[in-house]
Amino acid sequence: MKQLRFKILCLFLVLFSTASTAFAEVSIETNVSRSVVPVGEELTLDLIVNNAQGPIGTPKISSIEGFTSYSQGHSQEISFTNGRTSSCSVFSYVLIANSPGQKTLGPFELLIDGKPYRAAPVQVMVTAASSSPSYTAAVSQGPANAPPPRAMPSATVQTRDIFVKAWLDKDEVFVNEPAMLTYTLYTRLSATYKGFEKEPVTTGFWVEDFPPEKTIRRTEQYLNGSRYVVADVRKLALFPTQAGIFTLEPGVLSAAVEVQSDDSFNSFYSYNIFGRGSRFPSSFLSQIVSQSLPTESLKVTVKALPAAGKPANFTGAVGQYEMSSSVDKKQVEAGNPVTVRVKIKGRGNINTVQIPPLAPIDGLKIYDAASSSQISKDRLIVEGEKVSETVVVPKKDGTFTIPPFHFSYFDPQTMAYEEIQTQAHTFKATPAPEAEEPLPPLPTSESVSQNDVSVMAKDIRFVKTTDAAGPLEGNDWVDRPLYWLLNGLLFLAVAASALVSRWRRRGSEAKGWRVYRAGLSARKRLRQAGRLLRQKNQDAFYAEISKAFMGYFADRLDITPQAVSKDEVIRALAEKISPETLNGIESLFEALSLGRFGRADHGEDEMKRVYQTASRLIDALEKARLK
Amino acid sequence: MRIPRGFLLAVFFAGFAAQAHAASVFEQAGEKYSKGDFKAAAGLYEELARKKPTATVYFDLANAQFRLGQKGRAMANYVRAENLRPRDPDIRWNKNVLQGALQDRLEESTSFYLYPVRRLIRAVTMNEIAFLFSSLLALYTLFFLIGRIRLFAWTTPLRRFIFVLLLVCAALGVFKWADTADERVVILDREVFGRYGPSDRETKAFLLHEGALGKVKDESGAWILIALPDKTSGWIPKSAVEKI
Repeated sequence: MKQLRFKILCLFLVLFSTASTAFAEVSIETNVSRSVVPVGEELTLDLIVNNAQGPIGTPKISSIEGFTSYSQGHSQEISFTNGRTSSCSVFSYVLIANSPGQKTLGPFELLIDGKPYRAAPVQVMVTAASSSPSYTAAVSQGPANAPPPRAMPSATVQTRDIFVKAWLDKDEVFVNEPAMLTYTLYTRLSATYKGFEKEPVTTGFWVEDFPPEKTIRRTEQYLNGSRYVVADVRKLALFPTQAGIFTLEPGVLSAAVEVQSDDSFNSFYSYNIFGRGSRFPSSFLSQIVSQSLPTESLKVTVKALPAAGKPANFTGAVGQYEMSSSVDKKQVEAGNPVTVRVKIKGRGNINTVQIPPLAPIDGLKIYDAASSSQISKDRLIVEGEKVSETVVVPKKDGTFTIPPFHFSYFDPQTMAYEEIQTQAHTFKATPAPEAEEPLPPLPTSESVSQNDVSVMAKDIRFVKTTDAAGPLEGNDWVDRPLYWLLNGLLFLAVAASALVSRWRRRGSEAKGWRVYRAGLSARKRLRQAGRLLRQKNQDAFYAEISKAFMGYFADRLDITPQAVSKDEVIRALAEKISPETLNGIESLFEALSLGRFGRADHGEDEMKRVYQTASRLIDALEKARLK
Repeated sequence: MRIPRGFLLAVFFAGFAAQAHAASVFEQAGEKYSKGDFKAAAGLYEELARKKPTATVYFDLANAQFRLGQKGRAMANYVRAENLRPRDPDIRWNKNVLQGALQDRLEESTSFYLYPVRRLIRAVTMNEIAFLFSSLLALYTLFFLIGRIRLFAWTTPLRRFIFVLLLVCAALGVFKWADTADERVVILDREVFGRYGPSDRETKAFLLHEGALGKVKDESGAWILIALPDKTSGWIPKSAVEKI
């Protein structure tokens, strides 16, 4: 036992000595990414604290004059090597040089476990600004949400940290000349462009939107000494449709911005146990907030196209265009079609370009032209081609000439109208073969080789040109009280008809209401008789049963109660009810006479029998037609 | 009280002028569309849709918006047109073409035996069911009334058959009402996240793209809870949708 205690004591001592020597001495180093930096450029300053035990306070930087600084964060690494524990905390700052000269960074003070420590200052030479200070060579392509910039703000986002500029490449344009509207996002934060909260108002303009994958371009720029990630997030080509001064409301963009979470939580996790550059703690300590980014309105002056030199055939095309034409056949038989194709190609609002029509030609039947257009925005300009195809059919043989097509447009670069034309085309129509023999009979279905019709493209069908609303279109009828009122009236008509029908059925036997009530009154009296039976009140019982029975016959036969007698009832019902019922009525009359006027005391059983017989007879008579 | 004849004439001509103006705007819109000026055409159709919404106007407006690349708005108006005229082949075709161009494929989960009922109620409008119901009720009333006369006693079986049809029609009306009771919405933003709660901090449930359709199940502030055809549901900002 003593030996065991000794062993435990030894082990404890060994462990204690190891733990007490596990940490080496605290050391603080300063490190700068570059010792010479031009004005407007940045350097990274790291304060590296080695082997600190206990909590580390935020460093106090006594002198950082001549620089704009912001924190890049704090990280910590702890390692265990051969039973020895070492730690390394790094505080990083980005400094942007503002003025030239020899600068001293520091000294720096920080508290480790409540004790003050000091780090030596660092010398940095700031030289004059380079030739292109506002734009670094670090230009990269990628989406706006590609690697984020460095700073992460507290829960509120400042407008200088992230903002949008909407700008036009021209303040003055001619009608139908494109003005490029670009939205440029500037951010110093980790942000993701989320689209438009409010779309731009572009009344008076034909708008062509460029595909986002072509427009988003990410660069880095310095603006007022701060580094921004800059991205053109959207581009629109605006083609004004009329002259005047227009104000564009460029709308409101939305961005998701990463901000620091709650302060106490942040300070609790003020060191990054996952090491520098790790993404995990960042998401652990931050949250994404949605930020609205309004833009200022823009003014653009749209000038009317000059009247001087305007060609007679000018139809409003603005840009730079080429035109060509062709015919698909040089020789055809008379009566067969020839297709004349005209193509206009170039930069500008190709959708509104009007291809000149083919003028009437003697001997040619001209069908309406069909046109199609293709627009390309790949090069961040609106360009494309429009093709019109006109079918002409020579009515007779001969040589036909398709005259040149003339087209004019206004070129905003040369500020002049340009006229272009195509070449003339000739084709020969040979005489159609005469029908020497009668036409062959139509081929039978077996001789025809058919192919399935294949759909060449899928598109929406054309708009409807007549607006004929059906009679049942419009608001739901079921929401209108009138609808329910009319249906209610129909229901009432059915119900009323059913009631009337029932009354009539009864009324045809005697007098409507009296006959209808006969059974009800009789049953009511029978119920009263039942109560008297339970009370064993013989006289009252027979009197009530008599009233029920006599009253029933009086009502059904429409006679006075005084006129009701056995003979009268038997006579009236002899042909209308079964002999058993008739016998029952006769015996009940006799039983009632005996019960009411006889001197003998009738037992309870007899009263029950009378009650049941009366009840049964009234049920049977209710089902019978007495008239 | 005697209404002045001049006043009646003025009312008549004002109504006539309004109709003529609407017809003229409709023709202008058609011309703009034909010339490729879809933006102007859409503006005119929108004006018409505000004043006199018909299936044709919604259809044409949707076409113009489709050409302008506004898939969400186009889908909303195709659905409005389809609600008014559900069996119109042009509306169905264009809506299918648009659906084929959307990023989200949302299929309804319907049980096998309810599928024909759903197809039937989607092929008719509430007004058509209401009209049929009223017509059958009127016919039933007529037969009921004349059936009292012995000469028309032969109509009784017919009247009973009409009564059965009346019940079927009423059931259809109830199904239709249940199908259309929830307001429908279409996504207008290019993409929007559906979340598990009405806040940006809530976990993202799914991603929807422009043109996707859903039904409104609840609202809270600037958020609405929508249910997708496959019964998935999530909260999205009201600003990202248009109610149909």
